[in-house]
Amino acid sequence: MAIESNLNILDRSLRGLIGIGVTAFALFNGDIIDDVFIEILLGIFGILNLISLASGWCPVYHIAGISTRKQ
Amino acid sequence: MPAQPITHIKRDTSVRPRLIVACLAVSVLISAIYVTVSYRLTADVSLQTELTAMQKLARLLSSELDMHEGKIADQAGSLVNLLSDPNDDTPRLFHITRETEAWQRGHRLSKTEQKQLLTAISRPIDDSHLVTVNNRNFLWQQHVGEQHTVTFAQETTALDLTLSFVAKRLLITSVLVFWIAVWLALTLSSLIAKRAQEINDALATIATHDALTGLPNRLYLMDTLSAALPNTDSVKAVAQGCLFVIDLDKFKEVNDSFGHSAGDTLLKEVAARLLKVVVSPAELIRIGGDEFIIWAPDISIDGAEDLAQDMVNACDTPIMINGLAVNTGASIGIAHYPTHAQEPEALIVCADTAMYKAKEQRNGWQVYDDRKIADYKHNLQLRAELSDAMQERQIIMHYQAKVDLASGNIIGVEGLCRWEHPRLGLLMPGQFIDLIEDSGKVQEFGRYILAEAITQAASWQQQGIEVPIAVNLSPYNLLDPGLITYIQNKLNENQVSPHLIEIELTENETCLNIKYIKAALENIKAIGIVLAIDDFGTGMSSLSYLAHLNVDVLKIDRAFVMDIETNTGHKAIVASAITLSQSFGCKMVAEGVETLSQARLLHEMGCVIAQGYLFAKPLPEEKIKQHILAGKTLYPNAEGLVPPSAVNA
Repeated sequence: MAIESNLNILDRSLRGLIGIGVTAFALFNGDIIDDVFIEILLGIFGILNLISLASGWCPVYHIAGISTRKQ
Repeated sequence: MPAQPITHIKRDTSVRPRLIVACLAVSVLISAIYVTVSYRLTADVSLQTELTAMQKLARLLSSELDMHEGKIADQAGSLVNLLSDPNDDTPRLFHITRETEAWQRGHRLSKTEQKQLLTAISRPIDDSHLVTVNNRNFLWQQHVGEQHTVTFAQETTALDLTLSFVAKRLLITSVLVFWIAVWLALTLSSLIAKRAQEINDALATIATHDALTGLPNRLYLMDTLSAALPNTDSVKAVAQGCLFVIDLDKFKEVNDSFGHSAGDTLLKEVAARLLKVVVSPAELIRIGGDEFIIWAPDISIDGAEDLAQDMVNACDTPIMINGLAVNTGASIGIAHYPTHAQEPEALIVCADTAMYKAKEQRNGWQVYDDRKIADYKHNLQLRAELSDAMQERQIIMHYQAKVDLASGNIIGVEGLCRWEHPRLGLLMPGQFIDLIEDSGKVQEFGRYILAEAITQAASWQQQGIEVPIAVNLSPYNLLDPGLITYIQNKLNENQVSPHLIEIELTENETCLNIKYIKAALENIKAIGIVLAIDDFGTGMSSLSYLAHLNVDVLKIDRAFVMDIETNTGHKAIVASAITLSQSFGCKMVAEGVETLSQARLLHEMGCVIAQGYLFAKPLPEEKIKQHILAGKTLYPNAEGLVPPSAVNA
């Protein structure tokens, strides 16, 4: 399964912003969340978005066979 | 061939957004349910904990008071201070009673509120130990001890605390669930929409393409034409174009003689050949059976004629079927848009009409011509009326006498069909026999005239006339598998002797499997019916026919008889035919004898039987019967009637 970029620039940047925001919130929220389980969930969510930012590839798009990147 | 877009099968674009909305709605619903349940669960647990603590406090207070004597007020104040947290600002109320004595203390509650609270507690609505006073929620517990009854009420903050406690977690997990739901919706909707599209495409291909040749079909044609023809602003609209209707000339014969799989092979081969000639943007379409249509946009009539010639040439090359080279041939009709018609259906009708004209004239292709249309329409109408004609017995027989040149007597008759048309009067065979062949009613018609002849023979037999009646059958009639049984049944039904029926076989059809005919002919002969070869000498395989088919009579074609006196070649052919018939031991009949001198010459050459206008035209049954019954001599020069000197004069 070759990884081919399937995100356009807007999609990619949006995911980047969400990824950075959510990961930072999961790591440095202080006492706001106060629950490790939820922090881990948020962390996974953030990291997945960061992967999309780095590679320009979304696994869900890949499985669904869709792409926002212009061919 | 790739799938073609077609407006008939509309692409359902609403599947995907609907699925996404459905997934999101489900996820919101699930989130709402689980947030509510979590909240209520946490709230219940908190309230229960608080009530338990209050219950303990009330019981403790009651026990402590029971242990002391004296007024409640003396003990209760200090005990309440001891048991409750002094820093706790929660509004609360203690109410203690003993027989006639009562004591109460409220914390951050007015006298009115205390009174309202006690009233509410004394009339509880349910057993939840929760009452509402001035929009504030109070939990209460009551402990009835040995002497004292302690009622303890306290404003509860558990619900608010719970809310603030779980709200953040619920919010974050809801966001995550929502996020997962969005992905799920996207994936599912994409997969389903993609699959649905694949199925739609496949259906569109099946609906618009012919399974045998893989060519587009009528549905596709109508779609293409309606996009190209109307004077709309459609992007596919063209300024001009030609529509070709192609019909294979010998397809039915191939199907009948070699079977349907051979017919399929032929169609595939023809389709492949036509595809080589037809270049894009022209498109080849199979309409059904052996009919193809080509729609060639942006092509003039001149260009169309060139293309038609190419196609005729392509179809004229023989195709190998079951090891035999079959030359199928094609007839092409051409209609031009917008000269001949502006509507798709009308354009097809024009091209179709032109195709029939081409088939009739056997000239390969024909451009639609408005002026000649009346003829075709007439023919089309006749063709439509044929079925009724047979049902209502409008087709009748006239009989032409066969005369013995030696005696001048009628020794047989040939039955010739006439159509007593209710509107057009008496029609000759030339006007409708082709229509019968084209409309696939050959076998039905063959049975019809055989039945007519047998019935007639029966009727004559009853009147004492024993003159054989001959009917003309095409070799295609012999492919009728039930023909022999049919004849046998008819003969038995009418109690007619088989030798009174003669079958004259026209031998100008060539594309036939001789094996089938031979078997059928042998069966017919086995019944006892006399077999004749009609129009002998004009067919393609006369001599091989003679050798293979053991016939009883040869009828030499009128073409050789009409100029027998002047054309020495024809005279020689007739002489050979006479010799040939003698060698084969069969009778010989000369057709088309019109003059006395022809009859005399034929007689001298050894021909015994003749037929023609000299003796009698084809006559209605009544008249020929009169001739026969009168024993009329139709040949005045017959031997014994006229002295030789008069003959020579």
